[in-house]
Amino acid sequence: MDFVTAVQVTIDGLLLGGVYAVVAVGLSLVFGVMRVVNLAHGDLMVLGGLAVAGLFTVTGINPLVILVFVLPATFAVGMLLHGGLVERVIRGPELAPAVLLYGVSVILSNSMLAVAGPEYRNIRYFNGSLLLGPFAFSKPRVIAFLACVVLSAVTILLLQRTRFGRFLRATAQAPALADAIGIDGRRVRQYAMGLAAGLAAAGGTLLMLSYPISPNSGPTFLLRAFAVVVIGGLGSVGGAFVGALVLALTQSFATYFVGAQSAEITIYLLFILVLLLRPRGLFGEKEVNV
Amino acid sequence: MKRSIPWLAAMGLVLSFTLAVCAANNQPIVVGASLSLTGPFQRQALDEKTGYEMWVSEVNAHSGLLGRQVQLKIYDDQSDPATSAKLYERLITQDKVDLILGPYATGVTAAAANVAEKYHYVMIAPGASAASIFVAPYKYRFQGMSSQLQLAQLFISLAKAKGMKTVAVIGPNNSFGQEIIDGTILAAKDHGLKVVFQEEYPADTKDMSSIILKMKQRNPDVVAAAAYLPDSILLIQQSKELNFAPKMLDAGPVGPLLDDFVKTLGRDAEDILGVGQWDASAASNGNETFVKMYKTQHLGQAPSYAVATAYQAGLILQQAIEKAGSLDQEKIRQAVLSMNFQGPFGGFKVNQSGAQVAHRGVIIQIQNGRRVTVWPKEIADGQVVVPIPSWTGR
Repeated sequence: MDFVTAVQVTIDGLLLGGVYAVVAVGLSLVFGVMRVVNLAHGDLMVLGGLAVAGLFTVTGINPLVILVFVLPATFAVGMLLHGGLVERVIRGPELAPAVLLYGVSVILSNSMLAVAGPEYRNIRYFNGSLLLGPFAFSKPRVIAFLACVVLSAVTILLLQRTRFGRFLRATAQAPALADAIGIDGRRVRQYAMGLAAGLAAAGGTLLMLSYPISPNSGPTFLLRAFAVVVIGGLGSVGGAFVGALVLALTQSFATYFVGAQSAEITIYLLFILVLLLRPRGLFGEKEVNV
Repeated sequence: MKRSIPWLAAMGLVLSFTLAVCAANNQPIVVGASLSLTGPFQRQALDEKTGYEMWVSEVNAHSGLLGRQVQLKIYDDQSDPATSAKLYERLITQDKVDLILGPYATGVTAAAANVAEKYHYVMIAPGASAASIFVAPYKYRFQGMSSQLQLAQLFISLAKAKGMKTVAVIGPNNSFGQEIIDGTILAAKDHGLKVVFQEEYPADTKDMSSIILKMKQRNPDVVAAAAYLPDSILLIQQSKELNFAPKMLDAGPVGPLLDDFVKTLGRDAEDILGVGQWDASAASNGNETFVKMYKTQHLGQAPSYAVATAYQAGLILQQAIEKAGSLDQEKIRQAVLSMNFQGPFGGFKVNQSGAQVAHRGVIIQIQNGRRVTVWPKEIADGQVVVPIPSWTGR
């Protein structure tokens, strides 16, 4: 492997990491911070992505601008989803929210099939690559990567530096204690789900810049995203981002050296290794005992 | 007078029997099939249903089959082979249909064809490409389309004719990809092309860049990808991003044959090749009329290959019955075996075990945003562009 190729494989790996990260960041918020396994996350991504793609086809406006206008709507969808459904079962059996959200996933994907049909769509706006000397940077993936850095940074700031973030972490880690000091856990979780739905929509849009998706695509992104969140560490949105990069770089180099099929094995070997050495993931928070 | 009563009774019986037979002959001929009206094969199976219906309405508009009207009886097999087998059992033993037609997909067809075999019912199978289910000792199943090996042979014969020397073969790591990869490698050997790269990838991969970089280093004349739609789009986009431009680029049997392909790729889809069973642009016998008929019924949309193969299966059954002159399954079977049919979907001729030997498929190329059939020569409606221009020159 010569130097130029090595760098190119690294570039492609990092950019693929950006693609994984856009899926994982929203999931990390719900799964990592709230500890709810959101099986509808993939479908919320597709919903947001298809909405932006549809508006883009009609108007031709920059899809990132459209996204800004679509975000409040998806935020509302997330709030409704939580307030109307998830919150009602959150104190039930441990699996109840996951099973409920699986049902939501099936309803969402089939409703989208009924409305939009089974066709694959993408958002063809950024196209081709930026060339720096012998190195090629895929334009849609660079955009997705940068947007994802911004989104992750905003989410991290929100979680670390705001009252809302502290409340959210408190309700997730010690719900009873949070209640006792007067935090409205219901409201906090509802906002978090709204935020996650917004991140999902952003993820779907950024993904569609470089990858075609259909209403059936939701679940195909989910498994990899869970792996990313676990590697990065539960409770850490930044960890999810790093986890995505680690996973994607591993995939790129393993594909180059041993082939695409063995790369899958390599990825999940890495997954197991990380769990063995660091059960809470690379940047996982310590358990808080209450 | 008393003695004539038995005679009258007997005559009455004969008369009523004759009447009953006449009445039966005026009853419509019922053609049964199971199709995946729900489940993963829904899209193609619904198209097959349309194909069957187009055939039936055409037959009925032209004095019917053996002078009788034709009626379809279709059940939903939910894309499940076992369900399909049960439904054919029901069609044959309970509904007592006169004829059957095949379901969609290789796996479903394999299960259904065993029932047809059991009851000695002829099954023209429009939706099964795997040659492996049309082998001895089976006698009543007949393949309507090309096998993957035959399609690979067709593609490689074009590459050979254009003076290509080396080929890279990639595809998803499932039976679909494997069959095409194996077929392409075999065909390349037959035609003296060298396979310089081969790799399988997970069907839902989100990245092809490393594979493309490896291919780029081997510098193949031809890339043959056994891709589905998303990976075919990924292949084209990332090949452009990494400036990898082989002389011929085949993006597989799915993507280039769907309208979604050009819609998602725009100009980047130009000159990409696709290998298919059939295309609306093919100049096969009666294809133009068939496509026109479909378009007038479907707001100008072109039919998919699944409509065409099902429609043709009906035509084949019809011709066999007209040749046999009866609904006797044995006679129909003999007629099918001796047929050499040229229809909208292409050639139909089968060997003793029912495998297809005359259908050739099509190689299409995207030219000015439209699919053009460029190979085989006899049904081409345009010239192939080889080598394809550089990514920046489009």
